Amino acid sequence: MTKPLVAEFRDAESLLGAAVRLKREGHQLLDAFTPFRLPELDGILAAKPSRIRHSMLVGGLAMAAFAYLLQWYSSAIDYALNTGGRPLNSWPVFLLVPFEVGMLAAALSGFAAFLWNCRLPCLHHPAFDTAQFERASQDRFFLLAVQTGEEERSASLRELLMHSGALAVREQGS
Amino acid sequence: MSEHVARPVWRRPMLIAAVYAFVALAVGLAASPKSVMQGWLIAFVFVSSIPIGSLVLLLIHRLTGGRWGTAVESILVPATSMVPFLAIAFLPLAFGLSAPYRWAADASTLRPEVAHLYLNQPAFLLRSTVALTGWSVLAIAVVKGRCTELMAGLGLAFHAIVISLVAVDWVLSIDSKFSSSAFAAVIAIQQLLSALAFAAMAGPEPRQSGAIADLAGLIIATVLGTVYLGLMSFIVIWYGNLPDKAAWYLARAHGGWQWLLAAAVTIGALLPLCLLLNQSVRQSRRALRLVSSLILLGVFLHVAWLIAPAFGSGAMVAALIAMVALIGIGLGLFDRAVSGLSGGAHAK
Repeated sequence: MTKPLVAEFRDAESLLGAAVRLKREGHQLLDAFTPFRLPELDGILAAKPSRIRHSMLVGGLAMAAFAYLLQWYSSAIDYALNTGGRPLNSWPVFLLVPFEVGMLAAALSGFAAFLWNCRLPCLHHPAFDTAQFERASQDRFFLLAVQTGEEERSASLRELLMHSGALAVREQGS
Repeated sequence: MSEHVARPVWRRPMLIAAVYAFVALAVGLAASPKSVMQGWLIAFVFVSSIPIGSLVLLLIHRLTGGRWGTAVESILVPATSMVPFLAIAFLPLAFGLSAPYRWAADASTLRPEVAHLYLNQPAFLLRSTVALTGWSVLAIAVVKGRCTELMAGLGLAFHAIVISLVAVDWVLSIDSKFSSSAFAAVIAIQQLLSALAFAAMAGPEPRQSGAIADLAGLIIATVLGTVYLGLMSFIVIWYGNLPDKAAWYLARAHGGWQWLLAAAVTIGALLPLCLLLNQSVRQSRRALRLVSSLILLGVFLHVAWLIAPAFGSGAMVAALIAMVALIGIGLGLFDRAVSGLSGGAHAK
């Protein structure tokens, strides 16, 4: 298995142009590293639809159900106390706590799912070893593309990147 | 005109329906004046919430700024210009206070000090006049673009005081034994909700992407605010368990009125909230129109649930006819205000 290629670009336009071209030629783009966000990349890299919303929904509902059950168990079973003839399972009152902790749990599970999806915290990444890579947070734009197994195709990927205006094309980690 | 704010197609049928509704109300006035006045009160409380809510939103936006306000200005400004007309819609009530309010017909239902110092006809009319005049002055200043930040801030403080007075006067004093300290806040937030829902329903396609999602977020917040405060006041009273306060809720939990509340909560809060949880709904103009129509219907049902059980079903019938009359006239005026304001903008 060959290593992915890291291509270095001078500006956003040439990176976007190269990304579009690579995609059209059928190469696989892995990621892009830029000093600031490029909204156009979202469409090109075609990230999978995030599943954070689902985990938020499940987390929120589960916590809300748990909060309701906890109130019901403590006041209807564990410590049944007649307060002025009110029903033990006073559901209108029990709705507030599930709503509030449900919202909190949805936010927390969204944050946890976000970390999980991004594989954070990540202390080291192979791309960090690439020469000049630290400039991704300063003034250079990097594209990470994978070579497919065959020799001639990987050669064409390197050539294509150079033709699209890359300043340098390196193997990841070198 | 590039933006289609109001649909003039509606104008003629709405106005014709409004004329018929006024005829029906006039006939009803001869047959059962009490029910007509009671129905008018219900319709007035609902319809007035849209202009007043629009005014408050514009005052808030004058202080905070932000994309959300510029996106809905094309609706909120003409809606705010309707505020002075509310005084005209209020006039029939001023002449017939004894129909909806038992204390106005018979002061002996109140404690003498309360009747003497606070809840009597001149004081009631004075408070309503101050509120409607103050709102009208603010509305004219906002529509003419002469509202400074200081005026907006003072206007909001003024609104906080007068809405606390007139919400209790107009709605809660129907049953003078009942009191609820959060009630005026429910009405005030519900006014913001109605104005936002109206803006979402009648608004044009915004130029900035994301403005629709902002509007949807504000609608979620105001729906939650209304439901939360309404439920909280109920829970406080439920725990307190005092006879007079329980009686108010009991009258609204029997005789079919409980279904009115169930319908109001389902149509106006549960269904819209579940729909708005979807991002695709929050970003779609058409879906938001549907959700806002549901919300406005729910708000009307909630207002009817607050008021009508004190009167009986005759008031509900009159309220529906009065709604047609007020909405027909209101939309006609709104339409004129939209074309008037955009004409003024063209002239500049």
